[in-house]
Amino acid sequence: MSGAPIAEREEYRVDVEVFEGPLDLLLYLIRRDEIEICDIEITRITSQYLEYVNLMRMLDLNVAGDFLVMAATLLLIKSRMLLPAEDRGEGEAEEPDPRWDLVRRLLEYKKFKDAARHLEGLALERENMFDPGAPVAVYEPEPGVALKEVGLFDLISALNEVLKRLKPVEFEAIRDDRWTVADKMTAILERARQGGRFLFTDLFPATANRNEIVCTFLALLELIRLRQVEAWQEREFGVIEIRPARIQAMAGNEG
Amino acid sequence: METPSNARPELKPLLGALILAARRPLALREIRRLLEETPPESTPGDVASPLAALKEREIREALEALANDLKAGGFGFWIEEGPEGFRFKTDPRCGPWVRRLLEAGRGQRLSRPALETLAIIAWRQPITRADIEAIRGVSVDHVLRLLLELQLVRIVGRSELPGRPLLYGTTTCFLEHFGLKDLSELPRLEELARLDTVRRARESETDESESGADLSPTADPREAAAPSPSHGASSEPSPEPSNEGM
Repeated sequence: MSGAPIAEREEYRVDVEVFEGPLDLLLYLIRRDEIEICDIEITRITSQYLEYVNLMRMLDLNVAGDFLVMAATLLLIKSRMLLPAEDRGEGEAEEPDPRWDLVRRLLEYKKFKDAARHLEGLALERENMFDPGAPVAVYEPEPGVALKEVGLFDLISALNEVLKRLKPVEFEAIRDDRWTVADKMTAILERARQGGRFLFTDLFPATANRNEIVCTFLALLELIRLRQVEAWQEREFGVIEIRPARIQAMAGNEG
Repeated sequence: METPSNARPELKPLLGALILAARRPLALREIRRLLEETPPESTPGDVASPLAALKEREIREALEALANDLKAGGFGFWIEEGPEGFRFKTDPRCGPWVRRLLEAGRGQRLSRPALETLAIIAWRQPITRADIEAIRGVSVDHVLRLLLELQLVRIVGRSELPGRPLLYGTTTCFLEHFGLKDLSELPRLEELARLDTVRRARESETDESESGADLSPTADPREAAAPSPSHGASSEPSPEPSNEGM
């Protein structure tokens, strides 16, 4: 994967802060593959993890250094798993499985993810209840990507699928990049206003080249961040659907 | 639900009147003291008011009966106990209209990372930033600042560790926001993991059926969870990964 972030050349920089961490990505991959945290296959998860981190870097998302630290950790565990058990344990009898520490961290974090979901459920009910005494809580919009319905990793997954379908034309004649993120934002918005909802994959025609795909994807991220559109999934890891944001739809649909 | 209202028909309206007039959450202790201290002559028609001798438990029962009456009656509001006492709450089904009236706008929902950080603080408080980051595996600088601004989290002190790092904990505002009376209403983490498994299993069974749970004013997600006062400082048994077959 090319190291140079594609978005850097754009006049429109998409400033997407990634608040999810490496453990989120690992748990996402584990859940998607429906494997037990305790049974993670290091070789497989390492390559998947690196694939996603590379994609995120290519998109020039503000990937924290923590992601690279985790990549190094995974590679270290992988190399240790390759050692025969007797060589590995020398002098350190208390080190039974190189995965142990990571597994423990994942399980610990998972508990709080469940707890967060519990809190979310409580808050959803409460946001429609008012009482006479209390000041009306108006929360500031949160900066950064706040994808409630579909997570960032879901979108990156979907992008990965699209990119994999690309025919490998590495040595294409260099054309003018006709696409900018700003153009694509306009196009997506237009589409959302006219047709209402459409599929994520509809955004990427078979003829699209890599640069166009990336521009479209960044445009989509930005529109979600700006709360112009929303990304939805029927079920976890299901097909992603794009809709105009509800508030937007209410305010001015007779446009 | 027993009906203490039959024994003391005058108590329920009185409690409703007090809470309405207070325009702020009214604590049980406060109500009891009020009943105790109000001289008998000011209660019309009665010689020695039996209200003065009421215990908090009896008052609570009457409050709960009143709350149930209001809920069952479909008046659009009822009484609920919060962190600071009893107050009226509007029916969530009327939310959109009330919100418009109050010009409240939809309160911004918290993002996943913010909720997770908040959950770590809620269940593990008091906790340092380094400990939160150790669990989340990523910097929480930004998210923590947001939670402090929203007053869902506050600095509760300093740790004895080197450098005396700040300790964070949740606020009354946190309890209000999530409709909790106190922290003991948070279920145990292990219990949540179990519920999560059950929920996933149920979801995969009934995919298509849209749940109308949010339309029921009595639907309470906490009902399913066993209440436990032990969270926070308690250290849980470490999970054991399988060490076999690498």
